[in-house]
Amino acid sequence: MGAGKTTAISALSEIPVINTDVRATDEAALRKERTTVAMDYGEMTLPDGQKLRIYGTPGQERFSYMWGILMEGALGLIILVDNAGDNPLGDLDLYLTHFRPYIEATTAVIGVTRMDVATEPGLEQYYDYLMQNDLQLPIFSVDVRERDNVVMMIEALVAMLEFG
Amino acid sequence: MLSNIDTEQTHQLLKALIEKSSEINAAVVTTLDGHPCAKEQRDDYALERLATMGSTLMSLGDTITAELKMGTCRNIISENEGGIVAFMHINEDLVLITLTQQLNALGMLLAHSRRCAADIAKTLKK
Amino acid sequence: MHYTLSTYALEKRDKLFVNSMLELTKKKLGINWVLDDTEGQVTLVDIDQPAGVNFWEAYQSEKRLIAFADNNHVRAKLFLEKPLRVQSFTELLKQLSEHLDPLTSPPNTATATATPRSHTAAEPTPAAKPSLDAQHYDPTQYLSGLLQTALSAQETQMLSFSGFAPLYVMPQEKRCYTSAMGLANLNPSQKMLFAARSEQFSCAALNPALARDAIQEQGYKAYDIYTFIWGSALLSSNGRLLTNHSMQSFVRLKQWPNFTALPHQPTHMKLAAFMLKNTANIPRIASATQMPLATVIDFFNACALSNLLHIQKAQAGVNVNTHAAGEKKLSSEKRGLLGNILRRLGR
Ligand SMILES: Nc1nc2c(ncn2[C@@H]2O[C@H](COP(=O)(O)OP(=O)(O)OP(=O)(O)O)[C@@H](O)[C@H]2O)c(=O)[nH]1
Ligand SMILES: [Mg+2]
Repeated sequence: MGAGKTTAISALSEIPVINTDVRATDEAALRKERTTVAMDYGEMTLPDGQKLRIYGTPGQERFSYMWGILMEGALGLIILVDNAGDNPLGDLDLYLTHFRPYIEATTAVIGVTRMDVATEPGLEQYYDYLMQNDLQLPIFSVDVRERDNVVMMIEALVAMLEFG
Repeated sequence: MLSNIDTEQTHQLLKALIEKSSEINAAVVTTLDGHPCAKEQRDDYALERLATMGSTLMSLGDTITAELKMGTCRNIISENEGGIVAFMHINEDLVLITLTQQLNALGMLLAHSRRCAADIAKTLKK
Repeated sequence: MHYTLSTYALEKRDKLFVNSMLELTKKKLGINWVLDDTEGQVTLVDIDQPAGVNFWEAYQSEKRLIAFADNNHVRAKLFLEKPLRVQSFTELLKQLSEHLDPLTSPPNTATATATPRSHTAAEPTPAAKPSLDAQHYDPTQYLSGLLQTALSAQETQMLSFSGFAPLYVMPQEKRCYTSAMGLANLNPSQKMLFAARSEQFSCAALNPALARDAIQEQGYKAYDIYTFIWGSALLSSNGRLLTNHSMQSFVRLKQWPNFTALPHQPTHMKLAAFMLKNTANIPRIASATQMPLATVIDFFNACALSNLLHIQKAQAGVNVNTHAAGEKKLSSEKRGLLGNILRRLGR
């Protein structure tokens, strides 16, 4: 939650992002005002006129029933982890466990956000986690407020789909 | 979040709703971001999950009505083989979800639920 | 009185030939041209070599360069056709000496800079100098090597490179500090910094506390030291494999390079994707990703110096387990879609 999924999609989408954020009432409210309860939706028109549809899920675990719905037929998956959350490695574990079958069949890219706010855990600890779980996935430190960083994650995803 | 007193009052109103109308099987009040605050039922539904899903659905409803410029979304009705579920706004922060197993009780479900929602809104305003 | 000439990326026999022709020029025309591979007034570049082309592109606007090739595909003003001929070569040197100011100090005695441990003050003999057309990439001749040395000696240093803010190297924290630069899109002069040879830097050992003060005062930004080791290896390798490595070794990435903090090109992401999932040797990586060998080698060097590689030496008769080395078979439709996504993102 609060890792920047909504922000990242806004950075890419050429339409105003269809957004289902509402006021947060729980501990989340301490960190940010609004949270996604259904999905984010953005679009990018590709050079051949096709539309790339980008969906963002709600981050909080109680909405996990949406994860499967939004993953249906997806080309790829980007997981964002808030490094300033209470237990970022636990969050990563939650997502990777949940999406493991999908990831094994396709791939995923991991972005660790807000490393400027919390420097620990460092990327080393994420590398260790991935190694222990025998996962070979691209992982970046990102600031999703920078469009370049979001573009890099998509590039990595495309590269993994093509060559990984 | 609602304070404890609010929760208690809200719960009383839900209880009254279920007692008064025998067709209504369950009622739950949830925050817009999917935390249940009060619930009451005759059966054994997983009302926490229903509350969270209700918030998702309500926000999709709001998104759709905004897209169509149809003002605010009053309620969403899901009519099913085994019954009917209604989702409606109580106020800016809360959603009421009610359900009946009677396939012909839609009007009653809506009427009673709407009144209940208005009552909850009123007590919370005080 | 003399003039100085450098060569770059020349083949060995060409270089020998150049040497003897300089002698000849002196005897025949009485003009004293001396070979000086660090600081020549003019540089002869073999632009048929990948390293030479890169050098050409990096320096053509600021150094006086002579292109040397089968044909003048870079439209150089100063051009010598292969093979070298006495006539044209001496003629060109004669013209050049009419335009250049002759030097008076004895050749190969570079002027010492103020800093005590300047590499330029080291006065290496020509033979001991890094050979630019070496077959292998020797990091000690570049910034990457300076940083590795600082790391292993745990010595705080200030590196200066002309035209740039100083680079403070703090090995204790595994960091460097300098003014902010956008790593995703290096500008040409930043590229030169990363490609520069070690003798172009002057290095001074510093007290860490002093360095910290200076960093704070200037508001310099912190970078992982491997950002610079990586960048230097990537931009100074010029298609030459790291010394003590073999093209036939089987390699695999231990982990994904954190590209948001590393100078790179979009193509490097493809190499990383392949090398994260497959164990393969350099030629195989190049063919699977359809990348030029030189690009793969530069990337290999950067990864190796950043400790990102598992390397298995290839041994005759030993069947190296080429992990999942089957290439992905994508439908052309999907390949097209992926290409379109990249194009839409401007990549
Ligand atoms: N300081 C800092 N802030 C960041 C960084 N990345 C994102 N943010 C901010 O963090 C917040 C992320 O919020 P959202 O985009 O709503 O996060 P989300 O993942 O959609 O959250 P949920 O929908 O609640 O799961 C925004 O306010 C961003 O501006 C970062 O690297 N550094
Ligand atoms: Mg969101």
